Amino acid sequence: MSSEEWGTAGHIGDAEAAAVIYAPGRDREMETRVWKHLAMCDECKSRLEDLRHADRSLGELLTSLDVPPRAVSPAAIIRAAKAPERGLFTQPHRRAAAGIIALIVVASAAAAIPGSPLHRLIVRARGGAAPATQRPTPAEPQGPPTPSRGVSFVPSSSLDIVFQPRGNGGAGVIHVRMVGSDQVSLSSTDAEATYRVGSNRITVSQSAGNYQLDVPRSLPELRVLVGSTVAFDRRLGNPAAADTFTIRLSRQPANAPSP
Amino acid sequence: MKIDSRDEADRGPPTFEEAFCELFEQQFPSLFRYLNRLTGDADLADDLAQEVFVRLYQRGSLPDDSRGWMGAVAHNLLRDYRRTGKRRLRLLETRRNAIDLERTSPAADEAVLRVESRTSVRRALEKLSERDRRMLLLRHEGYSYREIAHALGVSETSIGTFLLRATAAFQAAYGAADS
Repeated sequence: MSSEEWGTAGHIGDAEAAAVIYAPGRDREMETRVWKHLAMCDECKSRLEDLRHADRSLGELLTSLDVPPRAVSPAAIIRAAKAPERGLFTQPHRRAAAGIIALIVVASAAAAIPGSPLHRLIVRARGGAAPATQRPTPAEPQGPPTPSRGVSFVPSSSLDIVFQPRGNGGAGVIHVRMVGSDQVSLSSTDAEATYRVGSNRITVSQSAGNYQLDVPRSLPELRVLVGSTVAFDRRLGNPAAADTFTIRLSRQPANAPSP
Repeated sequence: MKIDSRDEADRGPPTFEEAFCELFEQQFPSLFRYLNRLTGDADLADDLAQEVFVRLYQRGSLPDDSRGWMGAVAHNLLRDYRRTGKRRLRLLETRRNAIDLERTSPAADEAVLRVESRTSVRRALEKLSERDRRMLLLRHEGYSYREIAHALGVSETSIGTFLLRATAAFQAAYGAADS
Protein backbone atom coordinates (compact mmCIF):
# COMPACT_ATOMS: atom_id res chain seq x y z
CA MET A 1 0.00 0.00 0.00
CA SER A 2 1.39 3.37 -0.94
CA SER A 3 1.37 6.34 1.39
CA GLU A 4 -1.25 8.00 -0.86
CA GLU A 5 -3.73 5.31 0.08
CA TRP A 6 -3.70 6.34 3.69
CA GLY A 7 -6.28 8.77 4.92
CA THR A 8 -5.66 12.41 5.63
CA ALA A 9 -3.05 13.57 8.15
CA GLY A 10 -1.36 10.19 8.08
CA HIS A 11 -4.29 8.30 9.59
CA ILE A 12 -5.88 5.19 8.17
CA GLY A 13 -8.52 5.75 5.48
CA ASP A 14 -12.02 4.27 5.06
CA ALA A 15 -10.89 1.50 2.75
CA GLU A 16 -8.21 0.33 5.19
CA ALA A 17 -10.50 0.54 8.20
CA ALA A 18 -13.21 -1.35 6.32
CA ALA A 19 -10.76 -4.00 5.19
CA VAL A 20 -9.66 -4.66 8.76
CA ILE A 21 -13.23 -4.83 10.03
CA TYR A 22 -15.13 -6.46 7.18
CA ALA A 23 -12.53 -8.48 5.31
CA PRO A 24 -9.80 -9.63 7.69
CA GLY A 25 -7.22 -11.84 6.03
CA ARG A 26 -7.89 -10.50 2.58
CA ASP A 27 -4.75 -8.35 2.41
CA ARG A 28 -2.36 -9.40 5.18
CA GLU A 29 0.37 -6.95 4.23
CA MET A 30 -1.95 -3.98 4.44
CA GLU A 31 -3.43 -5.23 7.71
CA THR A 32 0.05 -5.45 9.24
CA ARG A 33 0.71 -1.84 8.35
CA VAL A 34 -2.66 -0.81 9.80
CA TRP A 35 -2.00 -2.60 13.07
CA LYS A 36 1.43 -0.97 13.30
CA HIS A 37 -0.20 2.40 12.82
CA LEU A 38 -2.90 1.68 15.38
CA ALA A 39 -0.23 0.81 17.93
CA MET A 40 1.00 4.39 17.65
CA CYS A 41 -2.23 6.29 16.93
CA ASP A 42 -4.95 6.44 19.59
CA GLU A 43 -7.21 8.45 17.31
CA CYS A 44 -7.33 5.75 14.65
CA LYS A 45 -7.57 3.05 17.30
CA SER A 46 -10.59 4.73 18.81
CA ARG A 47 -12.19 5.24 15.43
CA LEU A 48 -11.70 1.61 14.56
CA GLU A 49 -13.29 0.54 17.84
CA ASP A 50 -16.30 2.72 17.09
CA LEU A 51 -16.65 1.20 13.67
CA ARG A 52 -16.45 -2.31 15.09
CA HIS A 53 -19.06 -1.48 17.66
CA ALA A 54 -21.38 -0.04 15.03
CA ASP A 55 -20.94 -3.19 12.94
CA ARG A 56 -21.69 -5.48 15.89
CA SER A 57 -24.72 -3.42 16.90
CA LEU A 58 -26.09 -3.53 13.41
CA GLY A 59 -25.64 -7.30 13.31
CA GLU A 60 -27.56 -7.69 16.56
CA LEU A 61 -30.34 -5.36 15.47
CA LEU A 62 -30.80 -7.24 12.23
CA THR A 63 -31.47 -10.48 14.12
CA SER A 64 -34.70 -8.92 15.41
CA LEU A 65 -36.05 -9.22 11.89
CA ASP A 66 -35.37 -12.91 11.60
CA VAL A 67 -37.92 -15.69 11.38
CA PRO A 68 -37.20 -19.30 10.47
CA PRO A 69 -37.79 -20.40 6.90
CA ARG A 70 -40.29 -23.01 5.86
CA ALA A 71 -39.13 -26.56 6.22
CA VAL A 72 -38.09 -27.37 2.68
CA SER A 73 -35.94 -30.27 1.63
CA PRO A 74 -33.51 -30.18 -1.29
CA ALA A 75 -35.43 -33.14 -2.72
CA ALA A 76 -38.54 -30.95 -2.92
CA ILE A 77 -36.55 -28.26 -4.72
CA ILE A 78 -35.23 -30.84 -7.18
CA ARG A 79 -38.73 -32.14 -7.82
CA ALA A 80 -39.93 -28.60 -8.45
CA ALA A 81 -37.00 -27.95 -10.78
CA LYS A 82 -37.76 -31.07 -12.79
CA ALA A 83 -41.51 -30.49 -12.92
CA PRO A 84 -42.91 -28.74 -15.97
CA GLU A 85 -44.11 -25.19 -15.62
CA ARG A 86 -47.44 -24.80 -13.96
CA GLY A 87 -50.38 -23.65 -15.99
CA LEU A 88 -52.02 -25.34 -18.92
CA PHE A 89 -50.22 -23.59 -21.73
CA THR A 90 -47.09 -22.08 -20.29
CA GLN A 91 -44.39 -23.87 -22.24
CA PRO A 92 -43.78 -23.02 -25.90
CA HIS A 93 -44.60 -26.47 -27.27
CA ARG A 94 -47.80 -26.57 -25.28
CA ARG A 95 -48.79 -23.18 -26.58
CA ALA A 96 -48.08 -24.38 -30.13
CA ALA A 97 -50.22 -27.48 -29.56
CA ALA A 98 -53.02 -25.31 -28.22
CA GLY A 99 -52.79 -23.11 -31.31
CA ILE A 100 -52.96 -26.10 -33.64
CA ILE A 101 -55.94 -27.53 -31.80
CA ALA A 102 -57.71 -24.18 -31.95
CA LEU A 103 -56.97 -23.95 -35.67
CA ILE A 104 -58.38 -27.42 -36.29
CA VAL A 105 -61.53 -26.61 -34.36
CA VAL A 106 -62.07 -23.38 -36.26
CA ALA A 107 -61.36 -25.03 -39.61
CA SER A 108 -63.74 -27.90 -38.83
CA ALA A 109 -66.45 -25.45 -37.89
CA ALA A 110 -65.88 -23.45 -41.05
CA ALA A 111 -65.94 -26.59 -43.21
CA ALA A 112 -69.21 -27.67 -41.63
CA ILE A 113 -70.98 -24.43 -42.53
CA PRO A 114 -72.69 -24.86 -45.91
CA GLY A 115 -71.80 -22.14 -48.32
CA SER A 116 -68.58 -21.20 -46.53
CA PRO A 117 -65.50 -20.81 -48.73
CA LEU A 118 -63.80 -23.71 -46.99
CA HIS A 119 -66.82 -25.93 -47.48
CA ARG A 120 -66.88 -25.10 -51.19
CA LEU A 121 -63.19 -25.75 -51.45
CA ILE A 122 -63.55 -29.17 -49.88
CA VAL A 123 -66.50 -30.07 -52.10
CA ARG A 124 -64.54 -28.96 -55.15
CA ALA A 125 -61.52 -30.97 -54.06
CA ARG A 126 -63.68 -34.05 -53.71
CA GLY A 127 -64.66 -33.85 -57.35
CA GLY A 128 -67.93 -32.00 -57.34
CA ALA A 129 -68.74 -28.41 -58.01
CA ALA A 130 -69.26 -26.18 -55.02
CA PRO A 131 -72.86 -25.62 -54.11
CA ALA A 132 -74.14 -22.16 -54.68
CA THR A 133 -76.49 -22.49 -51.79
CA GLN A 134 -77.85 -25.10 -49.46
CA ARG A 135 -81.25 -26.20 -48.40
CA PRO A 136 -83.34 -25.03 -46.71
CA THR A 137 -83.46 -21.68 -48.42
CA PRO A 138 -86.26 -19.60 -49.85
CA ALA A 139 -88.03 -21.23 -52.80
CA GLU A 140 -87.75 -18.19 -54.96
CA PRO A 141 -84.56 -17.33 -56.79
CA GLN A 142 -82.38 -15.04 -54.78
CA GLY A 143 -79.36 -12.89 -55.25
CA PRO A 144 -78.45 -10.79 -58.25
CA PRO A 145 -78.22 -12.72 -61.49
CA THR A 146 -74.74 -13.06 -62.87
CA PRO A 147 -73.72 -14.12 -66.35
CA SER A 148 -71.75 -17.32 -66.26
CA ARG A 149 -71.22 -20.66 -67.95
CA GLY A 150 -73.01 -22.62 -65.27
CA VAL A 151 -74.15 -23.14 -61.76
CA SER A 152 -74.13 -25.92 -59.19
CA PHE A 153 -76.02 -26.37 -55.96
CA VAL A 154 -77.72 -28.90 -53.74
CA PRO A 155 -81.48 -28.81 -54.38
CA SER A 156 -84.29 -29.67 -52.02
CA SER A 157 -86.76 -32.44 -52.80
CA SER A 158 -87.66 -31.28 -56.31
CA LEU A 159 -86.19 -29.03 -58.92
CA ASP A 160 -87.65 -26.65 -61.48
CA ILE A 161 -85.43 -25.28 -64.18
CA VAL A 162 -87.05 -22.32 -65.83
CA PHE A 163 -85.67 -20.96 -69.10
CA GLN A 164 -86.80 -17.46 -69.89
CA PRO A 165 -86.51 -17.12 -73.68
CA ARG A 166 -85.32 -13.92 -75.26
CA GLY A 167 -87.28 -12.82 -78.34
CA ASN A 168 -88.44 -15.92 -80.18
CA GLY A 169 -86.45 -18.09 -77.89
CA GLY A 170 -84.61 -20.25 -80.36
CA ALA A 171 -84.04 -23.97 -80.06
CA GLY A 172 -82.02 -25.22 -77.19
CA VAL A 173 -81.11 -28.64 -75.91
CA ILE A 174 -80.35 -29.94 -72.45
CA HIS A 175 -78.15 -33.00 -72.18
CA VAL A 176 -79.12 -34.63 -68.91
CA ARG A 177 -76.84 -36.98 -67.00
CA MET A 178 -77.81 -38.77 -63.82
CA VAL A 179 -74.99 -38.63 -61.25
CA GLY A 180 -74.29 -40.10 -57.85
CA SER A 181 -73.51 -36.84 -56.08
CA ASP A 182 -76.12 -34.78 -54.28
CA GLN A 183 -75.81 -31.61 -56.27
CA VAL A 184 -77.28 -30.29 -59.44
CA SER A 185 -74.97 -28.82 -62.01
CA LEU A 186 -76.23 -26.86 -65.01
CA SER A 187 -73.90 -25.30 -67.51
CA SER A 188 -74.03 -23.93 -70.99
CA THR A 189 -71.63 -25.54 -73.40
CA ASP A 190 -71.78 -22.85 -76.06
CA ALA A 191 -73.49 -19.75 -74.69
CA GLU A 192 -73.23 -17.55 -71.68
CA ALA A 193 -76.47 -17.32 -69.75
CA THR A 194 -77.60 -15.70 -66.54
CA TYR A 195 -78.57 -18.02 -63.67
CA ARG A 196 -80.56 -17.34 -60.55
CA VAL A 197 -80.63 -20.10 -58.00
CA GLY A 198 -83.21 -20.91 -55.34
CA SER A 199 -83.60 -23.94 -53.12
CA ASN A 200 -85.62 -25.82 -55.73
CA ARG A 201 -85.42 -23.64 -58.78
CA ILE A 202 -82.92 -22.43 -61.34
CA THR A 203 -83.97 -19.56 -63.55
CA VAL A 204 -81.98 -19.20 -66.76
CA SER A 205 -82.34 -16.05 -68.84
CA GLN A 206 -81.63 -17.83 -72.10
CA SER A 207 -83.16 -20.81 -73.80
CA ALA A 208 -81.06 -21.08 -76.92
CA GLY A 209 -77.90 -23.11 -76.99
CA ASN A 210 -76.80 -26.39 -75.56
CA TYR A 211 -76.80 -27.12 -71.86
CA GLN A 212 -75.33 -29.88 -69.76
CA LEU A 213 -77.38 -30.81 -66.72
CA ASP A 214 -76.14 -33.20 -64.04
CA VAL A 215 -78.93 -34.37 -61.78
CA PRO A 216 -78.58 -36.43 -58.59
CA ARG A 217 -80.15 -39.85 -58.86
CA SER A 218 -81.70 -39.19 -55.49
CA LEU A 219 -83.65 -36.18 -56.73
CA PRO A 220 -87.35 -37.21 -56.72
CA GLU A 221 -88.65 -34.86 -59.37
CA LEU A 222 -87.39 -32.64 -62.17
CA ARG A 223 -89.34 -30.13 -64.23
CA VAL A 224 -88.03 -28.05 -67.09
CA LEU A 225 -90.03 -25.05 -68.18
CA VAL A 226 -89.59 -22.67 -71.10
CA GLY A 227 -91.35 -19.58 -69.92
CA SER A 228 -94.55 -20.93 -68.44
CA THR A 229 -94.58 -23.95 -70.71
CA VAL A 230 -93.54 -27.24 -69.18
CA ALA A 231 -90.95 -28.78 -71.51
CA PHE A 232 -90.25 -31.77 -69.31
CA ASP A 233 -91.82 -33.24 -66.21
CA ARG A 234 -90.77 -36.57 -64.91
CA ARG A 235 -90.29 -38.41 -61.67
CA LEU A 236 -86.66 -39.25 -61.73
CA GLY A 237 -86.98 -41.66 -58.83
CA ASN A 238 -88.28 -44.15 -61.37
CA PRO A 239 -85.59 -46.82 -61.62
CA ALA A 240 -86.37 -47.13 -65.29
CA ALA A 241 -85.06 -43.64 -65.98
CA ALA A 242 -82.06 -43.65 -68.29
CA ASP A 243 -78.68 -42.42 -67.14
CA THR A 244 -78.49 -39.90 -69.94
CA PHE A 245 -81.11 -38.24 -72.11
CA THR A 246 -81.82 -34.94 -73.77
CA ILE A 247 -84.57 -32.39 -73.38
CA ARG A 248 -85.44 -30.03 -76.21
CA LEU A 249 -86.24 -26.51 -75.16
CA SER A 250 -89.29 -25.29 -76.99
CA ARG A 251 -92.63 -23.76 -76.12
CA GLN A 252 -94.33 -26.98 -77.25
CA PRO A 253 -95.08 -29.22 -74.30
CA ALA A 254 -93.01 -32.37 -74.48
CA ASN A 255 -93.25 -34.97 -71.82
CA ALA A 256 -90.74 -37.49 -72.86
CA PRO A 257 -87.00 -37.22 -73.22
CA SER A 258 -85.31 -37.89 -76.48
CA PRO A 259 -83.16 -40.99 -76.42
CA MET B 1 -10.95 -48.07 9.09
CA LYS B 2 -8.82 -48.86 6.10
CA ILE B 3 -11.79 -50.29 4.29
CA ASP B 4 -13.82 -47.17 5.08
CA SER B 5 -11.03 -44.96 3.79
CA ARG B 6 -10.81 -46.89 0.57
CA ASP B 7 -14.58 -46.71 0.13
CA GLU B 8 -14.41 -42.99 0.64
CA ALA B 9 -11.65 -42.67 -1.91
CA ASP B 10 -13.44 -44.91 -4.41
CA ARG B 11 -16.53 -42.80 -4.21
CA GLY B 12 -14.87 -40.02 -6.21
CA PRO B 13 -16.02 -36.44 -6.47
CA PRO B 14 -19.62 -35.71 -5.50
CA THR B 15 -22.24 -35.71 -8.20
CA PHE B 16 -24.01 -32.50 -9.11
CA GLU B 17 -27.04 -33.53 -7.09
CA GLU B 18 -24.94 -34.30 -4.03
CA ALA B 19 -23.12 -30.98 -4.31
CA PHE B 20 -26.43 -29.20 -4.85
CA CYS B 21 -27.98 -30.78 -1.74
CA GLU B 22 -24.95 -29.86 0.32
CA LEU B 23 -25.03 -26.28 -0.90
CA PHE B 24 -28.75 -26.11 -0.21
CA GLU B 25 -28.30 -27.25 3.37
CA GLN B 26 -25.51 -24.73 3.87
CA GLN B 27 -26.92 -21.72 2.10
CA PHE B 28 -30.71 -21.86 2.03
CA PRO B 29 -31.19 -20.51 5.59
CA SER B 30 -28.75 -17.69 4.92
CA LEU B 31 -30.34 -16.74 1.61
CA PHE B 32 -33.81 -16.84 3.14
CA ARG B 33 -32.67 -14.71 6.08
CA TYR B 34 -31.10 -12.17 3.76
CA LEU B 35 -34.24 -11.93 1.61
CA ASN B 36 -36.51 -11.74 4.62
CA ARG B 37 -34.46 -8.87 6.04
CA LEU B 38 -34.40 -7.19 2.68
CA THR B 39 -38.11 -7.47 1.86
CA GLY B 40 -39.74 -7.69 5.27
CA ASP B 41 -41.96 -10.43 3.84
CA ALA B 42 -41.13 -13.94 5.04
CA ASP B 43 -43.42 -15.67 2.54
CA LEU B 44 -41.93 -13.76 -0.35
CA ALA B 45 -38.43 -14.47 0.96
CA ASP B 46 -39.26 -18.17 1.15
CA ASP B 47 -40.57 -18.22 -2.39
CA LEU B 48 -37.64 -16.25 -3.75
CA ALA B 49 -35.05 -18.39 -1.99
CA GLN B 50 -36.69 -21.57 -3.23
CA GLU B 51 -36.88 -20.22 -6.75
CA VAL B 52 -33.18 -19.32 -6.64
CA PHE B 53 -32.34 -22.93 -5.82
CA VAL B 54 -34.73 -24.20 -8.47
CA ARG B 55 -32.87 -22.03 -11.00
CA LEU B 56 -29.56 -23.24 -9.65
CA TYR B 57 -30.58 -26.87 -10.10
CA GLN B 58 -31.91 -26.21 -13.58
CA ARG B 59 -28.55 -24.61 -14.41
CA GLY B 60 -27.06 -28.08 -14.22
CA SER B 61 -23.78 -27.08 -12.58
CA LEU B 62 -22.65 -25.03 -9.63
CA PRO B 63 -21.15 -21.63 -10.47
CA ASP B 64 -17.68 -20.80 -9.21
CA ASP B 65 -19.07 -18.09 -6.99
CA SER B 66 -22.25 -19.76 -5.85
CA ARG B 67 -23.26 -17.19 -3.27
CA GLY B 68 -22.61 -14.24 -5.55
CA TRP B 69 -24.59 -15.99 -8.29
CA MET B 70 -27.49 -16.73 -5.95
CA GLY B 71 -27.51 -13.15 -4.69
CA ALA B 72 -27.66 -11.81 -8.23
CA VAL B 73 -30.45 -14.21 -9.22
CA ALA B 74 -32.39 -13.36 -6.07
CA HIS B 75 -32.18 -9.66 -6.89
CA ASN B 76 -33.38 -10.29 -10.43
CA LEU B 77 -36.32 -12.33 -9.18
CA LEU B 78 -37.18 -9.68 -6.64
CA ARG B 79 -37.00 -6.97 -9.29
CA ASP B 80 -39.29 -9.02 -11.57
CA TYR B 81 -41.70 -9.58 -8.72
CA ARG B 82 -41.83 -5.90 -7.89
CA ARG B 83 -42.34 -5.01 -11.53
CA THR B 84 -45.07 -7.51 -12.35
CA GLY B 85 -46.53 -8.22 -8.95
CA LYS B 86 -46.49 -11.89 -9.84
CA ARG B 87 -44.75 -14.72 -8.16
CA ARG B 88 -43.89 -17.40 -10.63
CA LEU B 89 -42.76 -19.40 -7.71
CA ARG B 90 -43.37 -22.68 -6.12
CA LEU B 91 -44.86 -22.96 -2.70
CA LEU B 92 -43.32 -26.27 -1.84
CA GLU B 93 -44.16 -26.38 1.81
CA THR B 94 -46.52 -24.20 3.73
CA ARG B 95 -45.84 -25.58 7.15
CA ARG B 96 -43.52 -23.57 9.28
CA ASN B 97 -41.59 -25.58 11.80
CA ALA B 98 -42.08 -25.71 15.51
CA ILE B 99 -39.35 -23.17 16.24
CA ASP B 100 -41.39 -20.60 14.37
CA LEU B 101 -44.35 -21.12 16.66
CA GLU B 102 -42.10 -20.88 19.68
CA ARG B 103 -40.51 -17.68 18.45
CA THR B 104 -43.75 -16.05 17.57
CA SER B 105 -45.29 -16.78 20.98
CA PRO B 106 -43.06 -15.02 23.51
CA ALA B 107 -44.28 -13.39 26.67
CA ALA B 108 -46.42 -10.32 26.07
CA ASP B 109 -43.93 -7.65 27.18
CA GLU B 110 -41.11 -9.33 25.34
CA ALA B 111 -43.27 -9.49 22.27
CA VAL B 112 -44.01 -5.77 22.43
CA LEU B 113 -40.31 -4.89 22.70
CA ARG B 114 -39.49 -7.22 19.88
CA VAL B 115 -42.09 -5.67 17.63
CA GLU B 116 -40.88 -2.16 18.48
CA SER B 117 -37.27 -3.02 17.81
CA ARG B 118 -38.19 -4.74 14.58
CA THR B 119 -40.18 -1.72 13.45
CA SER B 120 -37.31 0.67 14.20
CA VAL B 121 -34.79 -1.47 12.37
CA ARG B 122 -37.13 -1.88 9.44
CA ARG B 123 -37.70 1.87 9.21
CA ALA B 124 -33.98 2.59 9.40
CA LEU B 125 -33.27 0.09 6.64
CA GLU B 126 -35.98 1.58 4.47
CA LYS B 127 -34.27 4.96 4.69
CA LEU B 128 -31.15 3.58 3.07
CA SER B 129 -30.65 3.39 -0.65
CA GLU B 130 -31.38 -0.01 -2.20
CA ARG B 131 -27.67 -0.54 -2.84
CA ASP B 132 -26.63 0.35 0.71
CA ARG B 133 -29.38 -1.82 2.18
CA ARG B 134 -28.40 -4.82 0.11
CA MET B 135 -24.73 -4.29 0.77
CA LEU B 136 -25.16 -4.15 4.53
CA LEU B 137 -27.43 -7.16 4.62
CA LEU B 138 -25.15 -9.23 2.43
CA ARG B 139 -22.20 -8.27 4.57
CA HIS B 140 -24.06 -9.43 7.67
CA GLU B 141 -24.73 -12.75 5.99
CA GLY B 142 -20.97 -13.18 5.77
CA TYR B 143 -20.61 -12.41 2.07
CA SER B 144 -17.08 -11.52 1.02
CA TYR B 145 -16.22 -8.40 -0.95
CA ARG B 146 -16.04 -10.52 -4.08
CA GLU B 147 -19.43 -12.10 -3.47
CA ILE B 148 -21.03 -8.75 -2.69
CA ALA B 149 -19.52 -7.26 -5.83
CA HIS B 150 -20.87 -10.17 -7.90
CA ALA B 151 -24.32 -10.05 -6.34
CA LEU B 152 -24.70 -6.29 -6.72
CA GLY B 153 -22.72 -5.76 -9.89
CA VAL B 154 -20.38 -3.18 -8.35
CA SER B 155 -16.61 -2.86 -8.22
CA GLU B 156 -14.95 -4.98 -5.56
CA THR B 157 -12.49 -2.21 -4.65
CA SER B 158 -15.27 0.16 -3.60
CA ILE B 159 -17.11 -2.28 -1.33
CA GLY B 160 -15.26 -1.39 1.88
CA THR B 161 -15.89 2.32 1.59
CA PHE B 162 -19.53 1.76 0.66
CA LEU B 163 -19.98 -0.49 3.68
CA LEU B 164 -18.59 2.07 6.08
CA ARG B 165 -20.85 4.78 4.71
CA ALA B 166 -23.89 2.51 4.68
CA THR B 167 -23.27 1.55 8.30
CA ALA B 168 -23.00 5.19 9.28
CA ALA B 169 -26.20 5.95 7.35
CA PHE B 170 -28.00 3.13 9.16
CA GLN B 171 -26.81 4.38 12.54
CA ALA B 172 -28.10 7.84 11.77
CA ALA B 173 -31.43 6.52 10.50
CA TYR B 174 -31.84 4.11 13.43
CA GLY B 175 -30.99 6.84 15.94
CA ALA B 176 -33.63 9.06 14.37
CA ALA B 177 -36.19 6.27 14.29
CA ASP B 178 -35.42 5.20 17.86
CA SER B 179 -35.68 8.72 19.21
